[in-house]
Amino acid sequence: MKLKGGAMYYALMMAIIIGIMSASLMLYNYLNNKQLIILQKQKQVVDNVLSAINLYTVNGTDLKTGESKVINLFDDEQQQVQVSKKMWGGFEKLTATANYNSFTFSKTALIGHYLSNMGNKALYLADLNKPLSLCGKTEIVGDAELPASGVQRAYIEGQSFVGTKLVNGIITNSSKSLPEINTHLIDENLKYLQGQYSAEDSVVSIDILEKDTIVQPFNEKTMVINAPQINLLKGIIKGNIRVVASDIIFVGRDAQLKDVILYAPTIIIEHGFDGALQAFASDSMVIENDVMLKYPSFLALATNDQAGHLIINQNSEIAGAVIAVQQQNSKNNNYISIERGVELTGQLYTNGAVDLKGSVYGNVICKKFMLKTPSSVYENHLLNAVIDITKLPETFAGIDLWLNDQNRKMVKWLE
Amino acid sequence: MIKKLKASTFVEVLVALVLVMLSFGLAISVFTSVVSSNRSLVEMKARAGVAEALEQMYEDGAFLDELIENDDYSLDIKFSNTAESETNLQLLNITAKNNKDQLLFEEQRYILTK
Repeated sequence: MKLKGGAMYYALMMAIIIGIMSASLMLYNYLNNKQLIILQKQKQVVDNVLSAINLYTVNGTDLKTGESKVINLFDDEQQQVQVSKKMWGGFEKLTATANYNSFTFSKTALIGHYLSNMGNKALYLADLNKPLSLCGKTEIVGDAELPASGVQRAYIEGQSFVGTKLVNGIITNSSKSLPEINTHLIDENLKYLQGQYSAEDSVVSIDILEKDTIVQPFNEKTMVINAPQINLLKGIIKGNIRVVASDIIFVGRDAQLKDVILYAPTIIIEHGFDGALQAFASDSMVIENDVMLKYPSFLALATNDQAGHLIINQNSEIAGAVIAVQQQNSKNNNYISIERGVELTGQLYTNGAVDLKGSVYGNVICKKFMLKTPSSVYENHLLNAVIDITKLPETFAGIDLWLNDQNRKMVKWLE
Repeated sequence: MIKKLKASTFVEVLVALVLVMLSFGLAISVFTSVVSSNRSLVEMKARAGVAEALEQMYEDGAFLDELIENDDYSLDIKFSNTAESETNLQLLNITAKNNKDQLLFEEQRYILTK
């Protein structure tokens, strides 16, 4: 019997259409799952990088400064992350990088340290056989380590101490000298002051400053802008950049600086400047009036045997750390001057002298105070100064003055 | 004038019907298989559940082991102390399963609890 296939053609057509639709659905599902697996692997890479940053933020001893290594997270060779640690000014720069096929993810964090040991005291003043004398509206809030001769009221410039308590905290005796500072902190940065760059740095000429905006990401090489004299008058300079001058750096009020580090024998920051930066000088540094240096900023004066000065003029605000270190003993000491109306939130350290007329919301560690007035110079005197550790935010993480591997904290992400 | 229409025999229609039914049957089985094997939706829900649970923990400041169960998935969140247990570093282990007790994903992360 011969059958006509009229109805069969329609049925076959329908079967083919259904078959194509089914195959498409299966293909879509396959591709969708494949894409999902790739996205999950990429997310795993991101999570691994963040895990590595967390792990090495807390555990500072396993990775030395300048070291780079590949680690197996969770003892699993499938999840490898490359971590490296370098100094970034006064702070540490921790970078973690992981990849899956062609996808690479990298993050860099700026790491600071919670204040510990002497850092959690309001004041450490070395014992040079001179008592601390307080005048006017001086306030010291927090524990203090002071010379054995103690603290006393004094009358200078027509002002006697008007407070009820000399020190609002526990007083203990200090030593004749200051404890050894973390030399690594100074040495690593002195290299740049001496023109010794890292092989990984990309040195560019000053001509680049003609651009309006210079941004160097932290997952690329560090850009070093080098010239004898550098004027940063305007424009945006941001990121993984070191500005090195063999003579002087002048930062104008209209310049917008973020995360960069300045190195020069002399650094001047013009009045009205607002930004966040780190600056290392080997001779002198002047912060003019009404300058706002946001957290985390760091000012350092590092001299050999000659005396340098770091002057912070009236009504400036600094959040971070200010230090002046003289590497060799000398008759003349480094000198930090903090003028009236200045607010420093963070750390102040010097193995020289401090003329403190403003406020420090944090801790002060110094060899001696040197109050200069129009009529005279007074040793270990404070007039209308404020040192208050209780006003330091609990979350503050500063520089590692004492090579303390514990108490580390992420300050911010570096982009 | 009478117009002649072409028609199919009963047997032809029957064969065609069987063919169409087979095609539909195949399509339905493919569709069911695709839908049941598509774990992405449940997995995405579970991952969102992990993010939400962690966010809540950071908000509360309490990082405790937790078992979260709902109609689609279950999450087993466990914290283990690390060598740096005196610090705020914790090793977080997450196991996610679907409602048939099949493993969706397992994850480990180091987190800072402050």
